[in-house]
Amino acid sequence: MKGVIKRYGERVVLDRVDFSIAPGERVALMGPSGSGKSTLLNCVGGIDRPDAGEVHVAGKRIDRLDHDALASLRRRTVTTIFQFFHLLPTLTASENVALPLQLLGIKSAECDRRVAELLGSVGVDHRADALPEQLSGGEMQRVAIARALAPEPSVILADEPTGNLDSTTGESILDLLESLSDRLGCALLLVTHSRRAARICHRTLLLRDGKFEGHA
Amino acid sequence: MAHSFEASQKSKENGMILTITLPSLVSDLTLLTRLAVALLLFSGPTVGSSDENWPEQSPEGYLVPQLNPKLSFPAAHGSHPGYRIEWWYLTGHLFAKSEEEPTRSRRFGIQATFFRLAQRSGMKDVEGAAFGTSQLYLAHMALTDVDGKRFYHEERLNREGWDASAKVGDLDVHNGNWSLRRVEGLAALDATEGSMTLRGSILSDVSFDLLLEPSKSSVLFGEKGVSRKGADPAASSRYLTFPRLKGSGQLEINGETLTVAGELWMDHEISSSQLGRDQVGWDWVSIQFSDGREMMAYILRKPDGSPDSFSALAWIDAEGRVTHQKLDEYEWISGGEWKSQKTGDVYPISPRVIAVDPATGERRTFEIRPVFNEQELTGGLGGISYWEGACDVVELPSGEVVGRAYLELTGYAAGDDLGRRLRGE
Amino acid sequence: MPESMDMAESRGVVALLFRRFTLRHWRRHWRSTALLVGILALGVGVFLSIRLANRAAVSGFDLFTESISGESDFVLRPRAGQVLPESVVTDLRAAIDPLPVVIFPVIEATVAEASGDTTEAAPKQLLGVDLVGLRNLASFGAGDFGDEDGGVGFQLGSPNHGFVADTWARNEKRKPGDSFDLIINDRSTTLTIAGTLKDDPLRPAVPENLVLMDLPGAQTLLGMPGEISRVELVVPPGSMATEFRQRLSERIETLSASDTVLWRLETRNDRRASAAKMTHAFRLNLTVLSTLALLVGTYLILQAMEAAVVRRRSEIAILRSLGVEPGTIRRVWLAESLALGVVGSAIGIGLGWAMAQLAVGGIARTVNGLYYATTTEAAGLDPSETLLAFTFGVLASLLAGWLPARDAASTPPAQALRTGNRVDGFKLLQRPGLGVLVALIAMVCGWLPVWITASGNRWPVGGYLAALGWLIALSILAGVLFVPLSRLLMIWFQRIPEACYAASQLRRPTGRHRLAMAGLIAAIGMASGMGILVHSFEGTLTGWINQLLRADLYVATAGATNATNANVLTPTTWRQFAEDESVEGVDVIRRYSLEFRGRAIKLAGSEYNQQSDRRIRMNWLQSPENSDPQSLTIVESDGAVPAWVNEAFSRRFLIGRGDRIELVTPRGPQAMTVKAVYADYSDEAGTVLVNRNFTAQWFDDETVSNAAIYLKPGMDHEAARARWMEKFPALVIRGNVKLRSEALRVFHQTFAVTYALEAIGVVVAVIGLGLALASLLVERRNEMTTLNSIGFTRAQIARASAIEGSALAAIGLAGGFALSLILGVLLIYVINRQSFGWTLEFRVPWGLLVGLGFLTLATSAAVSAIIGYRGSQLRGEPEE
Repeated sequence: MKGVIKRYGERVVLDRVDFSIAPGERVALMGPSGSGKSTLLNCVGGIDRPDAGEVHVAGKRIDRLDHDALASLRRRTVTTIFQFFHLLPTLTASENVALPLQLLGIKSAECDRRVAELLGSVGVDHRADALPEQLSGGEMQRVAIARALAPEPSVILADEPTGNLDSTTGESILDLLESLSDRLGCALLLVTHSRRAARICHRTLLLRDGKFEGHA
Repeated sequence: MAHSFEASQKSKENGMILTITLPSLVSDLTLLTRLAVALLLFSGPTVGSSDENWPEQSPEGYLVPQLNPKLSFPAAHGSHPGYRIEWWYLTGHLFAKSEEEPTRSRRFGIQATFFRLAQRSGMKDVEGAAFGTSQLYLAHMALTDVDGKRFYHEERLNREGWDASAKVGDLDVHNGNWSLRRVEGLAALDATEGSMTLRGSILSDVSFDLLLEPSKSSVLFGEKGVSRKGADPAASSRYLTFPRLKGSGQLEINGETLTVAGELWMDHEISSSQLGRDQVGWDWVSIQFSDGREMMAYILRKPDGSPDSFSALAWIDAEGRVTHQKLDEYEWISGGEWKSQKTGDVYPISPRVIAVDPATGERRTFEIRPVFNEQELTGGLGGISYWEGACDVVELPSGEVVGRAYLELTGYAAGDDLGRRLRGE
Repeated sequence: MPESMDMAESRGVVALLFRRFTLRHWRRHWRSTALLVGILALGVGVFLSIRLANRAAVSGFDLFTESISGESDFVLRPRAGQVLPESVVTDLRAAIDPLPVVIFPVIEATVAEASGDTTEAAPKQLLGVDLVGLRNLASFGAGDFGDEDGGVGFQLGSPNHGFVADTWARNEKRKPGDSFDLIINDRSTTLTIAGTLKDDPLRPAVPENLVLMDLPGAQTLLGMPGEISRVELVVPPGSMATEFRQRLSERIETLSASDTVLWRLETRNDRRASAAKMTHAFRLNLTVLSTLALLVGTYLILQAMEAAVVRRRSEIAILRSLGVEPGTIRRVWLAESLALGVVGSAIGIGLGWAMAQLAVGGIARTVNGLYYATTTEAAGLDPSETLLAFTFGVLASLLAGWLPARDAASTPPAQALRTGNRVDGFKLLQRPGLGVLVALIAMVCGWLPVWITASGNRWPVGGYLAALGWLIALSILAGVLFVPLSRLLMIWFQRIPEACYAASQLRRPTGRHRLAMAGLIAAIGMASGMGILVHSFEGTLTGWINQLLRADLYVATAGATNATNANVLTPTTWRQFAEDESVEGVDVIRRYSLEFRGRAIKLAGSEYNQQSDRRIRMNWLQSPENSDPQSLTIVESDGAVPAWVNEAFSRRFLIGRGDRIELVTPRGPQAMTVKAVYADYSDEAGTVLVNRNFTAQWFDDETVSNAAIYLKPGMDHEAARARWMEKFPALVIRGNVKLRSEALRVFHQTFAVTYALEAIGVVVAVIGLGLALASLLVERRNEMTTLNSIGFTRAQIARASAIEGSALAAIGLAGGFALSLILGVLLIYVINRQSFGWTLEFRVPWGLLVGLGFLTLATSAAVSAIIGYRGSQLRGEPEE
């Protein structure tokens, strides 16, 4: 990410931000509320478009891509984990996880196998047919992680993944993220308030008023 | 002349804008334009005017009233369809004894007029035709409620046929539910025996049924039995009058039924032309004096307002003898201008008549004073407004009330030069 | 808190909450608030527009009736036959003297304006009135005098002059003095325009097809000397008018009690009722349509309010958790619903008025084609209709706000606050048990007998209730289809993620889903239900016409283009056909209007030829012992005349084979024995058919209404037709095929406006579906974020939306079609039979249903796709 500027009206949210993340690297992004963390995340995920500067993901410049190309980017390269899980409420756990695979056109037998495997790897294979509203917060986040991992992305963006969970559950989710990113070799950009969360990361960036405050 | 049914007003009252009569569709029709003015049609000059050259017919083929007529009764009271215009014109004063105040009586002025207007000379309808075209019958009714200070009037026009006709040979005229009929007697000009009925109504406000009996025999106005209106002999009429009829009967007004009695005046005038050249209208009065005598007077007005020399005055003494006076023997002084709120027309409603009393040879001045001003018949069917109302007669300078009168003022409507319209100019 | 935390305090809380939450919510989410108000307005607008258009059409009749009959207090019509002798007015005057009553005789006839092609002759209403006496009814000033507007010299009583509407004269570029041709009975005649009747803002428009003549002239022209059609009595205004009217009424009643009077009294209400009867079929049609509008409107409003409640469910939960009682929350919502209802209804009234302007033209055209020509009346904003629509809008929004708010307010806060929780909303439509119950009640209603009003109108109340019940029942029951359909879609489109997503939405349908579906069920059900009725009607009619029309040529006068006219063929004319050498036989019929048990019916005198073996075949409901029409000539031993009656007569008076009836004719009462009942789809008043020999005696009348000609074998129809057309230019001679097609054309014209209005109903339902999806997408904005983050393209989201919409539409269609079959049965076997007395065959217009289904699915898919595409970029709430 080079010289990225993002404004919302008068307010400059990201002020010439330069930043990069290596494959397999886990970076924690911290900062007070309103410092621009989520915006940065959105720019990487192609959900927001920077007003100036360039964003490259997996060797590809994405800040000028059209909707469909961005959708394609999110299908296979960059996936997101949300604070409020954002499972589709009408789909079961396994259907939620299967969705990205279906989007990639993976055959149903293969798809079913991968879903089972993914749910197993996050430890919720026993709740495969439950609807989100029947799951606990931790279980929902595990399903969300499984869904994020499904397309084997290069980068996972996690926006306060533990923010809505109790500390024990949060710990286990962090452990899961750490082990899975190690195992799959994908980069993890973790937005968090919690130092404990930052613990699993290789480095921590502190964002304040749209600028990085040195490296910790 | 009265608006007949105030349809638009009724619609508003009912709150039903949709309820409009088909009749109103036809208010644009022009076919009847000439009907009302036929009232007073002018006829072209006829050659010669001496007695020997007295014409029998007008140029249009209508009969002309003949000198020294030999009249037979009661046929003379009936209809004369050979003449263009004929009217039976009743005016009078009625009084009702009030039950609450037996000493006071309510006073009313009444006008009931039946016109017959021939449409073409010599034309006859099929015998008994329900919808004839030979004659049209116009009729006016008006009632002046002196104490209530209200003036009611209605106007009506019907064709010869099932709902309007005038009998030949006897007095039997009707127009819708309005009628004037001889009951008995009246078998000679000087007969005082006999009676008639007059039935009428004004919209749904007034309804009356009167028996009329002559207090005096009928009289014939004019020299040699002909009342001349202009130099042309065709402009003359046969003018037969009951100067004093005793009237009695029932009057229903606004839901109240009153027993009324009083005295009426009835003209029966037959002619084929009623106005001479250069006449724009007339002022006419009939007076019933308290002393048992009557007076009939009119002036025919010229465009400059001055009276035509064919204007006339007649005194009737207690025995029914008529004394005629020409314009050089009496004066008609217009006065008391009143402007109508409805039409904006100005009428001289308090004229003075100055004449020599044939009984005494004295010059007497009478002022005609309306019981109230608003007695204008605003033109409806005829499109011509006129003023006709009940009046008292006050002798000047004494100020004594010496009689009652009915005053008629025509040809005052603004922009409506009656004479010119009549001549089609 | 003490018990007496009373009303005042509670009211204060309501006001506070209203200010803090409702008003702020409106400000912040003004777009969705506007959408809500818009939906409300649309519901109210559709309802009002159909009602207003209906009223305009109906008041078109009233206006026309009134414009002929004026503001008469009483109307006297012939007791039997078509005419009265004019002498009745003289007798009347004598009988009511000296009451101040204007007695106004009128002669009237429907004639045709001759044009190049006599089969297309335009009907004209010829009115003969006393043009002199007329003036006694009119109010006008001296300004109306004068010839400047071009009146021509015109002799009273002229049979060659008539006054016409100024609008017509302008359109036709005619002026006074010009002439035009009219076809009267079987001859053509030329009339000179004596003057034109101008429109005046203070009175209803002059009917364009009016020809006004002086009464005696009209009598001459119509060949009816000494005859009139009716007498009008008008009491002049005034302080004693009521009293005089009362006296008149007493005298008239005394008179009419006598057997010798030739007339019967018809009051203004009777007149309205007869106008109403004339359009009975049409009104039925519009009743169904405005009910449709009402239901679709209600569903729209419910849907919109429910969406609003659902969206703010967490707000409700928070308030609950802060200790606000459910009752207070419900009151706040009621206040909000009321406010929205008032604003939405007010806008809806404007909208409804605008839509009514569009609809009324179509309705008036239909009416013109069928009955009389009406004056095209603009659909005014009638106060009572406006109030009704407004009340409907406000009540519906109160109900719509209350039902979901009640559900929401009673949900435990913890459950409502849980994130990711899905809200089903609107519980009423989720109870199949209730649906079954309503269906059972509806079934019972279908068996209720017809309700006959005091004025003799027949209202199939049971039938209507049953229809309504089934509609509600199916709206509830069709909901069970959601889950199986969802499963089916999941299986079919296993590999298509957007389809799976869409299908998953239907697994647990929300209230909006159900309401959108219910709206579609109502619209589709009623539209295709009417379609079934119309198709059944058409099928039955076609079969009947084919049986009935067996002759080669049909002769009528050119004026005979609609149901109410007295144009006839004179005996010299029709006998010429019978005597023509190319003719094998002739059937003739003459119809008269008559009164039976106080109601108007028709008496037909017919004479069937004995020569041709192709004879008219009746469709018997109760067949006679002898179906040969010749048997109708034989008088019974007791002097009764044999008669066949039609189904409408039989049902109206509960008279069947073997019963004796008595009809009053100008020759006095005549006894008849009913020998048979036949099917007849051309008449809802009831007809008694006898041999023409009898009617000719009773009415002293040898004319006939029309004639059917059977040519000798091998004769050229067209040549014969051409020959006769030349000989009788005022006659319309139609070939068999032409007549059949014309009958069907008239039939289709009746229902033309129905189709248009139904289309509006379906379109509105589809719009409702679109709105439902739009609000669902707004609700699912977080899901949109998720789908975007997973990598759904806009097109995929649009497709997901399209699939969801189509699935909804499919369920709506399934329910709608089921409903339409039930409605079809009710309309044909209950409602129609009870109100017209006709038996119809049940026929389903499969083509129409398939077309409607396809169109609905396609438009639903398209609308949903557009909404999905536009909604795909919605962002979830920020999560920081």
